[in-house]
Amino acid sequence: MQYIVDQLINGICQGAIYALMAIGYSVVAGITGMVTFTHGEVMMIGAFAAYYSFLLAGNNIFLGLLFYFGASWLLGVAVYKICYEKFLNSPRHISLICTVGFSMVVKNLAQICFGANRKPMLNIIDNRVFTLGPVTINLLQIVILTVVVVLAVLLSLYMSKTRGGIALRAVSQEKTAAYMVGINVKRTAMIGNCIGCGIGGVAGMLMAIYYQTCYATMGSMLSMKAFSSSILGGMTDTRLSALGGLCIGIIENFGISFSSASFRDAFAFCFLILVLIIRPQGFAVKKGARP
Amino acid sequence: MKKRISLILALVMAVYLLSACTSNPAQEGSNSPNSNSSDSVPGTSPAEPVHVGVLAPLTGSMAEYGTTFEVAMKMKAEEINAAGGINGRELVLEIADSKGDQNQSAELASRFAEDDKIVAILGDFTSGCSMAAAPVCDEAGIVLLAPTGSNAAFAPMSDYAFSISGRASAESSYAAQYAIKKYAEADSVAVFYLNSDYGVSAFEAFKEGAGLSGLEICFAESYADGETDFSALITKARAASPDHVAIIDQGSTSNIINSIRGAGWDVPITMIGISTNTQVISLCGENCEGTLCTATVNFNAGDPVTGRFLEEFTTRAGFGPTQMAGYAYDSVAILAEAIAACGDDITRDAIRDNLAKTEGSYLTGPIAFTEIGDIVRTYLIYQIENGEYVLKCDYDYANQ
Amino acid sequence: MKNLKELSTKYRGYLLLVLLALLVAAPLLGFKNSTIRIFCRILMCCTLAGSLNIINGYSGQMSLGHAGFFCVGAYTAAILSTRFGVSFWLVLPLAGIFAAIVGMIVAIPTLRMKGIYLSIITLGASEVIRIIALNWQSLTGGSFGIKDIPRPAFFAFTFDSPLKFYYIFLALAIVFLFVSGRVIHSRIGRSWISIRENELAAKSLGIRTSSAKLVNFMYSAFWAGICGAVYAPYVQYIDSAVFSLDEGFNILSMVIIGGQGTLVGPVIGAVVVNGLTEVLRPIGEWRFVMYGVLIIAMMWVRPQGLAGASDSVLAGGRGWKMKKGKISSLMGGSK
Repeated sequence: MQYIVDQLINGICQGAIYALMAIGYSVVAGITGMVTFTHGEVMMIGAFAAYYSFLLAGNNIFLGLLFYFGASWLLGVAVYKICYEKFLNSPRHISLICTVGFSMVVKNLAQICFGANRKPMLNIIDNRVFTLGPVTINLLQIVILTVVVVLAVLLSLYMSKTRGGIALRAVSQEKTAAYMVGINVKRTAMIGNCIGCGIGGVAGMLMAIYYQTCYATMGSMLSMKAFSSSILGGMTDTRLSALGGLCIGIIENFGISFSSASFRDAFAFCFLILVLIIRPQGFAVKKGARP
Repeated sequence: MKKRISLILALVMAVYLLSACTSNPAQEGSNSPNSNSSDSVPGTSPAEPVHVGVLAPLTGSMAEYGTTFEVAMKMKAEEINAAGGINGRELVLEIADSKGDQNQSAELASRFAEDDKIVAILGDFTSGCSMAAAPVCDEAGIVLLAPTGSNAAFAPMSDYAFSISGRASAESSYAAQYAIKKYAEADSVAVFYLNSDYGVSAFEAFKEGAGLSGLEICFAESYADGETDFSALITKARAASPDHVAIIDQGSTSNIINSIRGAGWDVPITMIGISTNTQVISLCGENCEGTLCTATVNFNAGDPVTGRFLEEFTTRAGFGPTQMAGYAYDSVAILAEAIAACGDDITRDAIRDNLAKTEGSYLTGPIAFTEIGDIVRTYLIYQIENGEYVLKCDYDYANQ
Repeated sequence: MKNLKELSTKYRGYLLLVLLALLVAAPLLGFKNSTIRIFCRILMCCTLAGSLNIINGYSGQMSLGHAGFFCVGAYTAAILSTRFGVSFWLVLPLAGIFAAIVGMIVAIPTLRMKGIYLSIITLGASEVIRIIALNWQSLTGGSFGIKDIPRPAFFAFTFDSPLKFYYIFLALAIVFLFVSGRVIHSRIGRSWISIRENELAAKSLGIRTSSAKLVNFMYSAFWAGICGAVYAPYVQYIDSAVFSLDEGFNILSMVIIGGQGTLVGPVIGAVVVNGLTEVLRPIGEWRFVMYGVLIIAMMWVRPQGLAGASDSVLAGGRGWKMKKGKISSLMGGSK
């Protein structure tokens, strides 16, 4: 029992990070209508921004938040200008290859600029372990869960209550109609992309704190996970994408606990394939979700 | 339309053919201003530099290790050249980026093998890449000296294949018998190992060593390369309640230690295969306090030889050396000696024969090749105390 | 206009012959083995990228997992020839057929999907195949890989040098291009193209899109499998690390840079991409930065690829909105 609860908590924590990545991903994918393979690199840049901000300004997550949100926002602008803007009305594979090229550039530049070795990010948060009945959880896990939940709530408030958020949703659903009601589609799409990237950067920072290290090639596999999680949620819906990420995290951890860790990615992908066979649109309910 | 396509195709091919022909000289040109490669038997004139090819993953996910290779090897080469070179001739390393890709490694090895100036090849980093390059070098009859090829199947592949890291199996067997059972007095152990040729063969040997000394392996599991989250594995291992944890890996060791401590589990840990890596200390901080490790060499700041290496490597690379840096450094040293022993008539076969005869003590301890071309190493046991590696057991601990 | 077309067809025949003669004679011009190895890789990539193009270019599905089929072929060949001593010439079709079966298994769940859902399934399948190859130690050698894969022999003649393999790869590429050229212009090929241009319209014309897509996947996987079966004895040592997602993206970038939906496109893509990685080698660690920049530049300048037809949906989503006169060339693709 204890064992299962522990594994569940591990799964939830990892799932929470996947969820945050997936939220960022689905904001990007939903609003630009494009698939991106740069999301892993955005997270990596967020992690490195966090590393340098902690190095220069001390271990303050909330002070740093601006810094790494900003860094990944800037990267988001670059991604948008280079990979999306010109191709908004082109077939998707063109911008896809652009993002593949862009991620190659960023990854290798990062390796050249920051060095190839792993960077330590020690004790950003005190390591304290809490025990509540059968539940053992450490402070780091609590912080991560909190940040994820807060960000998700803030984002969904922004999306449903503010003018900008509603414009974003409109662009995401139907670009032509958005034009017609007077929304500046290109600018809105860029802002949406940057919000997605900013969230990705925060996810990268949390990853780096959770695993206490960051390095230039950390993004590649993560980007696949973000991609699968958000597919699972139907690509455009942030809440369902978050659910998808959570599911993948839990499934992976239970898979590992009953079998071997070498199969981690296989569990994630098999689960994804199974879900898609049963529900070709992922968790998304409405038919209108973008394929 | 079609014409244009054909034209483009023809143009591209022509450009490529040209570049394929010229790219080699271009590369050589940067390193040797006045060499005439077309008709020279290796080393016709004593004034000419001696060229050695190096395969290393300078880009890609293994770039960290490639950089280690580059820095350590260049360091040794500069030292040799500063001391007058090889019989008065300059030693030039031509470093090629294999990206950790087996195809590229084989292709580059073939390129080196066909370049008459290149007298021997060092590398590659992973056993897999080295094993892909070995058949090429075997056919061409050129030495392939792998500083870190710990796969036991590598050296037997060819007479020209050499490895100086010692078989992965020997170290983990030693760790099981002496570091964990004898020194740490553990009765049961949980093992995490990397699912790679290195990790699996090291674990097999670990099992053997544990069997010999009566150490019970109560949990053992592998994980894929690039794994980031170990919490599930650790929870699983913890349920088996072992006395000790052994980690067989290089890249993820610090991550596992951090996760174990982060979960509030204060089990003693032994690191295998990573040696006295100062990066572990910087990456884990207090978390790795008390951790044991086995090593073939210690970069001790107080020691005149290794201390100087430690200092110089750290300034050049920006991070501390691992024993791999030592192996890379030594591989240049023994290769240079083998070349020097050829006198003025440097041939690839003579280098091979001289290399096989290598015997002596180097930065990473004594080196002498076995029949098949790898070496048997002896090990030390270290423990991390106050952020430093402290020697606990010397080379003869196994015999006490 | 008609005359010009005829002329260019005639011209094209001669050009092809000259090109073929050049290709056959090229390695005899005294290239070094290392250069011939690069040629071998290019030719192999021609077939691999070409087979991916069958899915991505002709039926318009977005497959990202071609490395998986390649992996299946290579491992089938390696296992059959090292464990059971099956001759290379028998292994070749067997590996292809096995890869096609795997292709079918991957394709069945994707029949109802399109676009990005299909992409993620192929990507996932490719990764799952690689993980199985990495972990099924008793069959695939696990992380140790399979070494000493025997070289193919034809009676007393052994294919033991890159030069000899060059001709195998060349023959493979030519056979592939020839067969595919025929298939594309057959009934099934045309139905693939119609699915690409407008699936709904194709359905309404009575094309069984599901079975056409299934055959499409199997055909593509078949060739990827054969490629793997030649690759395994060529390098003599395989392990699962080669068949990573990066390899899949590499093949995909060849297809897209060369031009989807044309037969020559992937060939050009293979030459350009492999050429670039070699040509850029002198700039050291900057070469992948440069390579990425070039990919982006390529997409900006010629989104349909170097050889791509500018009037297909692949080029800019114009599809049916184009001028009437061009519709015939749309259906022809490379005719």
